[in-house]
Amino acid sequence: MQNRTMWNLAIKNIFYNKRRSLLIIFTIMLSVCLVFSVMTYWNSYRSLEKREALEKEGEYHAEYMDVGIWQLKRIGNNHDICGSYITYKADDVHIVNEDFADNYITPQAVSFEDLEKVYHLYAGHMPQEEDEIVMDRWVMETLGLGAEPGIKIRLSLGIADKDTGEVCQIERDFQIMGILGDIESLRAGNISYVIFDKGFLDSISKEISYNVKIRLRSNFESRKQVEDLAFAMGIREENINYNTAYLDAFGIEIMDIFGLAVVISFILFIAVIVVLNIYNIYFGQNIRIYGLFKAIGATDLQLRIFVFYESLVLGSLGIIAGIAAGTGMSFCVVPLTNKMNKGMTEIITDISALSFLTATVAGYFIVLFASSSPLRKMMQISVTGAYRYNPVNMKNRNVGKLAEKISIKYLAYTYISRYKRKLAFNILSVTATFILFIVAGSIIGSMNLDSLTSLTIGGDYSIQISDTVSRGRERIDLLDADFLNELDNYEEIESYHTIMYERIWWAEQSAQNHIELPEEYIELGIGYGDIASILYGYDSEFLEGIEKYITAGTFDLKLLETGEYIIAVDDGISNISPGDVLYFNNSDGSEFAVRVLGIVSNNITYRGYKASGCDLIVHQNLLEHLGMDTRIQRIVISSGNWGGQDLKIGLQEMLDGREDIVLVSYVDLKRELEEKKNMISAISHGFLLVLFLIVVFNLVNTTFTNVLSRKRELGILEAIGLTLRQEKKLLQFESFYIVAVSSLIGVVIGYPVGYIAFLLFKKQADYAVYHFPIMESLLLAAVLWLLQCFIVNRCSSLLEKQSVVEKIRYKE
Amino acid sequence: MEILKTTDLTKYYSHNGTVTKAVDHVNISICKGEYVSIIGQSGAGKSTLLNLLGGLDKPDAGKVFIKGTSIYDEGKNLTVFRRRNIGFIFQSYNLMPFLNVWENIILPAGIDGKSLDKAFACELLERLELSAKKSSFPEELSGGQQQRVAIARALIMKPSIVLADEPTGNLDSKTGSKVFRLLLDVCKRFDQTLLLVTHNEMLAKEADTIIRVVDGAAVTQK
Repeated sequence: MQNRTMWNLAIKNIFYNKRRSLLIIFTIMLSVCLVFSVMTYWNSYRSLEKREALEKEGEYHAEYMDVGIWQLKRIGNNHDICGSYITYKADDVHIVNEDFADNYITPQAVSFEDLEKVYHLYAGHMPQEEDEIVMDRWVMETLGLGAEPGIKIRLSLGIADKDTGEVCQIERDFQIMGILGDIESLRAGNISYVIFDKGFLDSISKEISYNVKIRLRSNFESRKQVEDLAFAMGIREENINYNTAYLDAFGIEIMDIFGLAVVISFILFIAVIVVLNIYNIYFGQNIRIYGLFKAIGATDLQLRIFVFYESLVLGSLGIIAGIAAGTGMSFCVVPLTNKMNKGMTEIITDISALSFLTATVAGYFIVLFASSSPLRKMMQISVTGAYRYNPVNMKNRNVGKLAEKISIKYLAYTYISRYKRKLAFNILSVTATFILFIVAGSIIGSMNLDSLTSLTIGGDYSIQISDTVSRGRERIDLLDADFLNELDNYEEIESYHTIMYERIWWAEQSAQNHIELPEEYIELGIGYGDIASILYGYDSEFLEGIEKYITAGTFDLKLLETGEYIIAVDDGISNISPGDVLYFNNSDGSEFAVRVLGIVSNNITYRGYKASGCDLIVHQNLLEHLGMDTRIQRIVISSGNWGGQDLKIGLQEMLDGREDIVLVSYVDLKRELEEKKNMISAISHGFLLVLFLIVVFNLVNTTFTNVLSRKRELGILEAIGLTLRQEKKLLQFESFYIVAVSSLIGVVIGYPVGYIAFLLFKKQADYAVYHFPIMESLLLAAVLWLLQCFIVNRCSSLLEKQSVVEKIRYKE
Repeated sequence: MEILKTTDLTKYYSHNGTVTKAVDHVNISICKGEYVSIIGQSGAGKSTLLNLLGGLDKPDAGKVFIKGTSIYDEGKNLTVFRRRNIGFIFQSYNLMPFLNVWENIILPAGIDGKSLDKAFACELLERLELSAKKSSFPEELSGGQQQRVAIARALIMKPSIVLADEPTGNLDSKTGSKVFRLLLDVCKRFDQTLLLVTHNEMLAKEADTIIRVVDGAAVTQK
């Protein structure tokens, strides 16, 4: 019965204090909307990652290499492992067909148990007879076999005798009955599975090793689980092959959750400050009512229940509205991200129960947490204390030297400095938003599209061999002398430069001396013997262009043209200095050496391809001298007239119908990148805008309440001679101080935080160039200041309508 | 010498269709340096009359002349006129809680933009026995002390007229009497006209002129 009374009172109070109730509901709605959208985006992105991981790498956490029979048994019996799939690898069987070697493909003779549970078969079925095999689709396409099951292939198998060292070669016809979808990690290393029937492999191989792919029961800290299980079974670190894509997509790592928690905490932090402020003001103004409740016999518990009911109703309304808005926002943001990532797998909006749960908990947390502190304060106060309560509890009484004169500015400053605590919430919420804007400004501003476009093209136009052709090693020279002759016919072409490249492998010892292996390589099982670099061959003129980027050593074109010298690109990881001699492997197993002449910064113009080691630049003569691939891979054209339409049309006509050659224009690429950047900017600023809206609510609420609650004080000032103009000036000065203090703290904290965020971003994006977000800061400060001026003007207009006497008689 | 005069000063309040005559065609004339007490029952219209005389509220009819100037004709300059010619003292002190005693006292000078007559401010502090409290904040002071600060603030601009609305109403009789005595002494010292609204017959009797307000109408008694 008593609870019913409290419930009725709570409902009546919500309606009576409409403005406060609406502000709380709106704040919760916006925060819940943000939390829900962030959660939904995160969930949708994880779903995409999961789909991609399953398609590309297969459904397993890791693979234990070269395991023994007893280890196989232990894996099978382990309760933490819910699935184990054996790969039989015939180490003494090598496929020695020339077409594999010509295309740099390393085939592995293997057989699988339960292959379909791990990998996705693109077509066909597993080998059921001794003459049936399964091959990778990309390999079949590269070898020109098409991608249909049933094709016959003649394989040359070299079977090595471990004891005698002799190799016995057999040739046999097989039928490709199954086609494996792309397994990215294998493809990246040009490794291909040729899957035989187990019986056949047993019949020809004496050296079968067992690799086991495992799937864990739980995804929590799965990487650590994989490691712990391996060590417990005596499997060494180098024999663990992590399925990084699967682990990243399915694994629940504390750091992932931490990142998400930071974003959600930030939203909650701002929302709690705002709602806490609203409650503080409300309780401050209405504490006498609560005193009255106590005076007529309400217990502390009943008052708590009263506030709890109120919070429950306000929270519920805010949550419902927030989830509805969040659902709408998610369905807008996710397609926008898809537009941004054109050509990549589409993210599908995936609203999970977790999003609902998190958003609901967040909403109730905001309202209950924010009301708890003022409620506690209220509970501690006595009935008489409640009547005498002064909501403006001044904290700073330091007066120092007595003032000679009290100006309007001094009056405003004194008010701000002596009511610090009262204004702290305002300053805190504005500062938090300010910091967030600066951080976002630092990152978005640092997306230097000129740098990114230059890195990708290097001139006004780039003509390059398409990916499918360049991956193969067919002896076709597409950008040959005839092609160059054709280019010579274009008058609009000011100059063009040719680029060649070759992937070279480091000699193990030299790699150890100069390369620091990143952790992810170690996890993938890549060792020093597997490190490759891209050796770019520039022509003389293009080479001269990099001289200005030399950061160490020298640049001597003559030496580069005639000697075995290279320029290394500083990737921030490799330990290469001018004068160092670097050793690399030739395809016949011998080594060759080159000397480092200079180091260039990472900002040099077009490189484009990627390898595990740092990039190296040489003159094309050296490629020829070393007997490497000297086909032109790319032509960079400078027109002297960027975006010259005639030239573009001419080049397009020249390449019309040729799918093997791609034309990229600097202007088009930059425009495309700009669109993506604008999209990122729109999404992040949309997020910030909602946060900003919460802060605006707070500002409007506190400024209005602050001015109106000081009506009497302002009336007295008027009575002793303050004109309305001076009054407006006073309030504007106060607002200015709040904005100035918030901006100052925001700048002091925001710039270093923004710079750290930029450094983290730079690790992901080479092209990022730090942008000092001065304009963003000034703009935000100006917007806040204008907003404050607007609110103050509105307040002044309201106050103007009342006489001095009315103001003086005003009681809160 | 006449310093304040009203002609048919009238103020009505209407609430829910009922019109109340708070000030009803009041005609009074007050000379410089006079001490005038305004008495009457609660709700008679004393405070409203005082507010109209001081330019805090607008009359519905009639005029108020101070030093020969019709104050409500001044329009927007009324505030400036008021701060230079009239000092106000309220029953509930109305000090700025975030300013200390010294700052509260010199506040009107700051608002006016004039340079402070520091010697005068110090003299006021001395006379009102506030020198030891000049760094204190209002809530650290007793009621009597706060009212003395309010008096000093009302006098800092050396106004010709001081309007006090029940300045001792919130004080006990002993403190009230002391504060009144100080106020009267200071006004006499600086030849200021004091208009004091009070319920206290003793204080009222000491006045040169008594204005009795009954239902908004004023009867002057010399």
